[in-house]
Amino acid sequence: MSLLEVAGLTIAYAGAPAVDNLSFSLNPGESLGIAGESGSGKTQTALGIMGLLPANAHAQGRVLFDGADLLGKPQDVLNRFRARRMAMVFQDPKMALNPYLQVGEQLTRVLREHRVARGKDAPMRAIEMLRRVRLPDPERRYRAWPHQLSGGMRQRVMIALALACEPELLIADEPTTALDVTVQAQVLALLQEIRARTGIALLLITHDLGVIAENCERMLVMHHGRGVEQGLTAEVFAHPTEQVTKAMLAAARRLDDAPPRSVANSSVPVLSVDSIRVTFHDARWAWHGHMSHGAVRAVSFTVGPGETLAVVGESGCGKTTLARVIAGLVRADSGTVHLCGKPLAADARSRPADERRRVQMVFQDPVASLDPAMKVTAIAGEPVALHEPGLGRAACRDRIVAMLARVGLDASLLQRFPHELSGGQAQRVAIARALLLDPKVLICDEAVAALDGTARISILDLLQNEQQRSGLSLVFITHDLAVVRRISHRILVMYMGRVCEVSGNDTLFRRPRHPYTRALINSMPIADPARGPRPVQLSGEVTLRGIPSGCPFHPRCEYAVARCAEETPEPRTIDGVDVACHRAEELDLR
Amino acid sequence: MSAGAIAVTFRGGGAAVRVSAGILLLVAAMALAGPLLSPHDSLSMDLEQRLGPPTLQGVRLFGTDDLGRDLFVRTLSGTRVTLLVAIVASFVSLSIGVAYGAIAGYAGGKTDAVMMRMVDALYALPFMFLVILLMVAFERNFLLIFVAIGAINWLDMARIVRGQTLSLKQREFVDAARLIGVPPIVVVFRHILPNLLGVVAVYATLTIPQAILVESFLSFLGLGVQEPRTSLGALINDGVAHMESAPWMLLIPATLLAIVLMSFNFLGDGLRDVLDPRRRER
Repeated sequence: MSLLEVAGLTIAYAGAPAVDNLSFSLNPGESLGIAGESGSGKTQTALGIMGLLPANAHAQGRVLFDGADLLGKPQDVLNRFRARRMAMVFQDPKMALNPYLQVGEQLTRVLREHRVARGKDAPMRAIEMLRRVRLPDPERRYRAWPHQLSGGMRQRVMIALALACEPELLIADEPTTALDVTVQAQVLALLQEIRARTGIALLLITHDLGVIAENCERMLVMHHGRGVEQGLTAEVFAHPTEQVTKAMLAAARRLDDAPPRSVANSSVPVLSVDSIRVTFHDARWAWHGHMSHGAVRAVSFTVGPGETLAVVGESGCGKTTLARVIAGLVRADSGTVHLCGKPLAADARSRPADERRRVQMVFQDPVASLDPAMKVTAIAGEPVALHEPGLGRAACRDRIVAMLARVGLDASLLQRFPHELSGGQAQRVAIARALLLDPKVLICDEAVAALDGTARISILDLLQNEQQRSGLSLVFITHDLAVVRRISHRILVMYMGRVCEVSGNDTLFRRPRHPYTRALINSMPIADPARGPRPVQLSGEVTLRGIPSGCPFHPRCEYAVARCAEETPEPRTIDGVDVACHRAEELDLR
Repeated sequence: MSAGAIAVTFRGGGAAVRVSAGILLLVAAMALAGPLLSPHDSLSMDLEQRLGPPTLQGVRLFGTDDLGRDLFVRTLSGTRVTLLVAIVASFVSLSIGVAYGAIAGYAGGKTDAVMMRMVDALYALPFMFLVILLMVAFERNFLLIFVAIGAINWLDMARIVRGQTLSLKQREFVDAARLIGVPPIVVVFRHILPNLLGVVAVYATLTIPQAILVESFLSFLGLGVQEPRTSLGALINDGVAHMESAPWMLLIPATLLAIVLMSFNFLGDGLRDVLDPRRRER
């Protein structure tokens, strides 16, 4: 008999179904992955199972847990199942933990509420739970407040909370989406380990087919609230029957093994960045110990005409700050940025109009980067009106329409507000706004991170086409190696404000020189169930307090020697690869 | 956005919002057109009919006051003055407060610190006392009331707008505007202010009743609107003197004042609920 059986589940808001007649089942100890793009009803399904739907949701159908129908049951009935028999881990551990309670207190409350442990047993038990989720130093962390923990540690605490009463079913809703890629690998490995040890059933909800390929025995693909296809993961990957599944798989594969293109060669760099340093002194954070954060330390690189340089690293490595320095939105403490051999002023406002327009930027959140109070026509018209004030109204409109057509948008969108656009459309408008100024360098700061698989591919295609058409140089800031693999000619890897390695696309993936680069590559989930789980390469996380002495990576590096903690490695060139590692010559990291 | 939000408020804001908006429109229409409907005017005295109770005879709907003037007409023209003072004063305070707060917030750094410390300093002044001094020292003119009330209210608005601006200027669309070279002052007026309109609209509906109260209070003290003009506060003041012999002189303007104040407050609450992002469906 199945542990969980969902039959004909329909969840509607004001008559519009978010989940439409969905049926699936989950056996004890089994793992099922639910895949789908945003808005496909994955999270609504999870909330429906747990009985956490908001009051204005209208749910029909049946949710049978071990034979008992839970849908629409009152809280006291649901509470006999929640935590004790089924538990949930949410996407953002920062939001899911109570900031006013110590971690241990939150755990012991769950234990006492469900009478799993009483009195003095509860703290012992809580520490044991923290140890089981591999939280380092559990006795001390028991007294920690959520804000004192890193993202990965918080998610471990969330998992400990979910497992506190040893439930039979764990629902994990995008449990690693808010985490860095190396930490994602650690958390997924932890879930696998717990499953192997306790035999808990797992319902894993994610947009990332790579995560499902590596962690789930069976999978279900959702689209517009419907379950379009389900089956064994390996079979669905090998023989998808539905068009939606094929498109999603194609998008994931195209990112994974896109052929690297020939590297453009040029002696004259369009953009040259020389020993940029930025330190943020934020007095408000002083008492948390973040005296300086997001710092960039002596970063130099060049980008040739028509070339794409990808800047890769985990959150907090300074890549976004670097992008903002080049764009002139953040002032560097020292260092220079040259455009076509001429120095650029530090502040976008003090750059002459003709230089300012040559460096443009596309931001991460496409909707937030468009003024919500303006229509598309005004948003796209702003740069034109500003840089060519003499242009007539009709000529201006013609230019906007032509540019929208170039980025693949119809003129009918001109009268829309940003919130009436899809993410992909909004990002196209943002790209059109930048391209209207005819830039030489386009900085893309996580420009596709907020987009779903197919929209992501089409935006990358658009950027590549533009590059071929106008010889645009791209600086592509991202944490996603699959995107890097697909789009870049050269790759710069950053860690805690320093450059680890600068290498050609193919060379980097074939022969990484820096241990951190290899760890990043190995942490990337691969949408191929046949490959099986990979060993976790990297322990620990980016430290929040202070920067380690010497090589910033040495506390997490398995190859670190005494010298790494004392001396900061200077970048040097080995076989055309710039690498900052003391042991780069002797290590063979293939 | 704000026009759309107001439309949404009337459709989805619930009965309280719709009823109070209706009452306000009715009161405003009566205040403008009402005096024309009565055979009397607000100044002509009929010493034969002093302190007359409300009656249909001779169309004295609200009765007469101690000088035999028609209270129906006087109440409506007083309402007109009260609403005018409140709306103009709110408009003055909103204009100053929004511009000041947006510029301080967007400029940031030292400019922001200096501008906001000035606001703090002004907060520390006992404003009611100052206004009373002003009224006593200068001619008690109409204009001064606008200025005095506006001068109190803009401080709150400046703080609220500054806070909103601080969070808005972190948004990526402001960075995008800076990148394409939009000058700072244009960023403030083109990108920041339109996105503040929702908050400002809500706050305006809450500022108006505040201004009404201040005006009524000043007039009640005899420092506000002067004869032959009148306002609801001045009428209430007159009414208190004859509370026992002619209670309608107090009850009618006081009730009207209470209704107007409550309607504005309900409208403001409704608007705030509608504009609160947490209550939005999308």
